[in-house]
Amino acid sequence: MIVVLALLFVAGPLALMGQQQLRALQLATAARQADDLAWAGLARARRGGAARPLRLRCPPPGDAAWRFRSVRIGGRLLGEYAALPLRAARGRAVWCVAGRTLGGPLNEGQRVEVYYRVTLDRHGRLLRREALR
Amino acid sequence: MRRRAGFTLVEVTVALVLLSLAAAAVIAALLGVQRTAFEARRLGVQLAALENASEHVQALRTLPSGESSCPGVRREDYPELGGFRCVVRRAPGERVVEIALLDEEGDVFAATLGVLR
Repeated sequence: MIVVLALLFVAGPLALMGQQQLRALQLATAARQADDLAWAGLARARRGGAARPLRLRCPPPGDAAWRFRSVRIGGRLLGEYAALPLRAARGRAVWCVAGRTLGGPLNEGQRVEVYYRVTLDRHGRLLRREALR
Repeated sequence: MRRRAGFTLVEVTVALVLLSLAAAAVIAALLGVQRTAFEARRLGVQLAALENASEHVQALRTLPSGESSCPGVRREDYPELGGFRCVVRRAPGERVVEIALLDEEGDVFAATLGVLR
């Protein structure tokens, strides 16, 4: 009886630890995807040379001004990205970029959002990156 | 007061039932732990495969035309994922590729995006 009780007390915390580890890995996967979505969104947006941007600062995270576009891989939703150009000094480009996962099966059911303000030089090299909050 | 000679049949039965219930609970909990550990292991390996593919894609000079297998990801290095295939495909956008892990039926079970330098 004592052995069974002791095993119960061991199995409970073990199960809890396992769940937490699993969740951490799921979050890591989704975070990686959100980050990759943001950078891919930036690379995609930089291709289209739009008119001179008027925006001076990034909208706050979660704002409707971020126009997210979704990405599907193999017919399954991977997540969404957004990239907005900011007005910047000559020879620089400043972008607000965001990526988020929507908790689908490819994201292991986790929702993660990332928002960055990035500064690039005239060759597209990364000069500065700040996380927005 | 009469001295007890031993346990009655009812007491023994109740004790045995309780014991077996507790044992069943312990076994169920341990099976759950094992399943979670297995899942966590698989998820970790899957993330490692995606990240390795992403790192190798960054070093590519030219975009793959159509679909090609991931550079630097060999199936035998990830036995936990079974018979998977890792492919990179050109995605819309400048120097963007999709990295996908496919199972035997060709369904995507893990994916991310990669950007060439």
